[in-house]
Amino acid sequence: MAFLTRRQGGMWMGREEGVSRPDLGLVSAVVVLSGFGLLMIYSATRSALLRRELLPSASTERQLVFMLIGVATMIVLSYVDYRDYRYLAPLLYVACLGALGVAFLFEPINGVRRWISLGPINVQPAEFTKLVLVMALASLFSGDSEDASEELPWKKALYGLGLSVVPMAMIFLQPDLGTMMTFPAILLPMMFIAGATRGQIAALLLGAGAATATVWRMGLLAGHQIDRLRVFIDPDLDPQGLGWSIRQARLAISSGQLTGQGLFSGAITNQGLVPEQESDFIFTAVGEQLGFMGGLVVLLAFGFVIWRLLRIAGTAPDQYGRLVAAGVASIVMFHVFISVGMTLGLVPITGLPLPLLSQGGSFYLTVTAGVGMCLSIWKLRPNVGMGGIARRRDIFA
Amino acid sequence: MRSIYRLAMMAIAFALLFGFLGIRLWFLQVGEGVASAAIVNEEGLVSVSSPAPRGDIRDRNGRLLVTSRMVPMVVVDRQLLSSSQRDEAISRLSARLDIPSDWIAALYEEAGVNQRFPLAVVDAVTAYQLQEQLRSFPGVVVESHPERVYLTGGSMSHVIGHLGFPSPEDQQQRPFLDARTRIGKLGVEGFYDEWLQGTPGERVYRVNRAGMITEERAELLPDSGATVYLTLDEALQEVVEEALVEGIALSNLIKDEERERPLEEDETRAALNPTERAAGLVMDITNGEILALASYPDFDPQGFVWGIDQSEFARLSDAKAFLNLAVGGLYPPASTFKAVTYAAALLYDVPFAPAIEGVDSVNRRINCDGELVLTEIEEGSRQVFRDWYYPGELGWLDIHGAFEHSCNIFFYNLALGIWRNWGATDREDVLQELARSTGYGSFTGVDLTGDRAGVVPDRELFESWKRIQLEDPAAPVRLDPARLALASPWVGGDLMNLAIGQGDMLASPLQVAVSYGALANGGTVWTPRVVSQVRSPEGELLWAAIPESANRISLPPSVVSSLLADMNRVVVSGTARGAFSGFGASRNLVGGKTGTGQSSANRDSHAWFVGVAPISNPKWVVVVLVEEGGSGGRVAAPMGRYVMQYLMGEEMDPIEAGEATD
Repeated sequence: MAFLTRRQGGMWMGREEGVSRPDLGLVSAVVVLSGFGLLMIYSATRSALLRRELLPSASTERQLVFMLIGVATMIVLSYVDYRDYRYLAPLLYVACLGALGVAFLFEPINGVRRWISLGPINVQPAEFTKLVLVMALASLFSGDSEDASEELPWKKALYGLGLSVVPMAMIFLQPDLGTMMTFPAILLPMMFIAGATRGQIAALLLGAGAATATVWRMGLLAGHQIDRLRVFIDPDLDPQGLGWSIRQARLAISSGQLTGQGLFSGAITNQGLVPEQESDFIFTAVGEQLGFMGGLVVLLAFGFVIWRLLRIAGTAPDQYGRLVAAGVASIVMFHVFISVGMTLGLVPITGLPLPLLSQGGSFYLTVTAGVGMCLSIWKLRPNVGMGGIARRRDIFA
Repeated sequence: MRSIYRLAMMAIAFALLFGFLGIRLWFLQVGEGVASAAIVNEEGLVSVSSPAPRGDIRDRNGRLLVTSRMVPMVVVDRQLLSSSQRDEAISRLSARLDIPSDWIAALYEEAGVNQRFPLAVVDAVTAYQLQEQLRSFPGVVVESHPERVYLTGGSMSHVIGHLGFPSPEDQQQRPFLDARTRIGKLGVEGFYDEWLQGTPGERVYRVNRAGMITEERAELLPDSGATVYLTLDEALQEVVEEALVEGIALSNLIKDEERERPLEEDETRAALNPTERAAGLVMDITNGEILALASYPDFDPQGFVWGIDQSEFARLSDAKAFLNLAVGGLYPPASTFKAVTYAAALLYDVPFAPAIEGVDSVNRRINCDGELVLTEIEEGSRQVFRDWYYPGELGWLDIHGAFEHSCNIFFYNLALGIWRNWGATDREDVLQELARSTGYGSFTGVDLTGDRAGVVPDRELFESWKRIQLEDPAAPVRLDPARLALASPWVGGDLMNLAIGQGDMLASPLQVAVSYGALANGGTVWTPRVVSQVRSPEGELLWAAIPESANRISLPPSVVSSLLADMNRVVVSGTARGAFSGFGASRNLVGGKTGTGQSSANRDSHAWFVGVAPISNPKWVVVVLVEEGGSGGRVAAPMGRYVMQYLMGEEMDPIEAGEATD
């Protein structure tokens, strides 16, 4: 009964809490989803690489490197007390703003100044900013007080809004609307958990509406962004451009039917002809090859990950930890909903990666680092060893 | 706890979002699935990439040298061809285009199901006729395709380069190359390939069983490559190329006469191999720009555009036509190297060796009587050194006269002075150090393929050769086995050889130009280059070269002016006087140095000439080399003179034999 003895070793008080095993279920889900992502990337990139007589696994191998670095980061962070570097949050936040600024100095790729080029790899500072904003907001909203039943003071709510708006404005200028929308999707749930009043939430939503209207009326949106919205409403407006992508994605997914066309037998995704199908549109590869059953399993896996993250939020030893876990859960949820939703025609095409599955290093590292922090919060939860019932009661208290 | 309660609310909200996704997925896949699967299985998705025209290459004055034009290309689209039509379609195409049917069949199979493959470029008339009769040629599409056009023929071919499929090494270095698209392989085509390449376009569409396009993605149009501007001047290049061709003819003419001439007593006939190869270049020594650079034999890059014939390729390869001898040909620089020895003697005040007959140490003069006899035994070196004018005599000469008349004995004595006074000290390498600091022994850094470093021999190199030879009996024999017994394989005779640019010293004509440039411009060792700028097809400046120096040495102006004055004496009254006798009024503004490089036994000497002009304010260096061409003064100097007459605006006299000098 190892966990019992550990409990006796010291509990509740400050840094003396017991330390338990990491959340192995969450770790396994992350590793399984990542490995599954490699398979999907391989199936989606293989033939395009072969057509150019290149190594068919080139893209997959690159992603494998990111996966190894990401999983290592997750494990390392799970062993570091998440409170030990809380004081770094303001510093990291400023560094992210600096990096977002530096990205403007680089040649735009496809017209977007989103990347910092470091030799063979391009870093997207906006991705890391998502996690750093979670840390910064958690730090701000929790303050020094451990009394979580307190209402969120208006001052803190406004500061939180300010912290979110600055990177949003920079990302709007890149321009990258999809990534920008991630920030309100982090702010809102975190404010909610931090005890925001109805008035604050209403004010935030009204403010967002007003800002959107202003941007729209002042014509600040780039032409392609407006097009995306219009084509979303009516795909026939641009049958050869965006409408083509939407239609191919939808055809690919729906032709999967119940059980899929079979791995490597997808007529569309395996030919490598759907744009971005190894990154933002990776869910089309799942839907076409593995069908409704495969898609459902992937959604359930993400549901499991988010449930585990929320459970960590519920058992966190302090308000800071609770807010970090809730923030990471919000990042994952928003990306899953938008990335899957846009391939299903539920939301406009905004270009957000599917966590853990999509090709790309920056966001993968952001998600694994976030999960790593949550694993540390889980290990330091105060009610270690009190058994499942106690934990559950905690959540529904 | 309020936040726990709120977490639960959040969990419910998130669960609802997943619910939306799941339900939507169900409707899409199970509801619309059958209809979508029918479309996907009935129709094919096809991607066609259209190659981008490569960028133009222009000379320094903007004259078009290489461009791309659109030509009709016959493409076979298997999507439009049922398998029952295959054999007939192939035999008809074979008959119409005069292409072997098994060749078409091979391409057909290689392309794969539903794919397309380009078959042949055709002329406008054939293209028109095929378009008219498309019904009888199922599966055939006639499309516009970019084709590389070399307006220069064989001229400038080593600077321009040619096209070819990427090699495994190319793909290693540039992993996103398409193995089926030709890239630049040599010269500027190779070195600046990424600028010239452009971005291919792409069409993606869906076709049904009947071959009708049902839907199509917006076509991505190809983007032409950028225009590369050379530093070369097409007119000057033509002059240099003429000089090479004429010089080779002259050398062969002289050899024909030599074969007829009865031998004198004790005389052995030279090898008299046919002369086939030569190289020449003109560099601006104020900034490193190459104004002309030629190597002969050359090749016509047009032959590579759609793939070169194997036997033609083998013939050109055997003739070494793809070697750019000006950049990658290594030869003993011979007497042209005396400029370095000369500068070293003045810079470091090299003392003469004591007690050698025919040396006037007080006045620093040497008796150039044709023979240097060393009375004491010097390990590893011969005792009698005969000069090129033996049995003639040049009399007592100082360093200026020795340079003018290329007296080897004088320069041997400088080497002996270094060896006997400074041997085995840190000053024994002064000659090598000066040579290296002006660019010998290292890559020039020119923006062309095939750059080579050459060799500046010294004690360290010989000792490493000795080690390799002792350790590995299979290694190539570089040193005479007798030397392996010596304490150090580097002997005085080696330094004497180096002083006159012989022995194991090897350099490319470009290195000789860079070194002379540095000696004549006061010490700046330029990194030579052939491209000045890159512009977009619309003319926007994308990249501009900045003159770069590889090194700077400090040369007192007195050394520079003394060298230039003596180079002028070479063309007025020295070894090149015959070739320059009719130069014109500006003869006192030009300078030069001849060289006759001994290669191995049974081979003729390499003929060298280096010119600098105008000597009042040096701007150009001209280097000419004829591989196994014979005497420098006789063959190379008239070629250099021809180019320099053009540069100085003189009337150009035909290339005729000069005096048979070193």
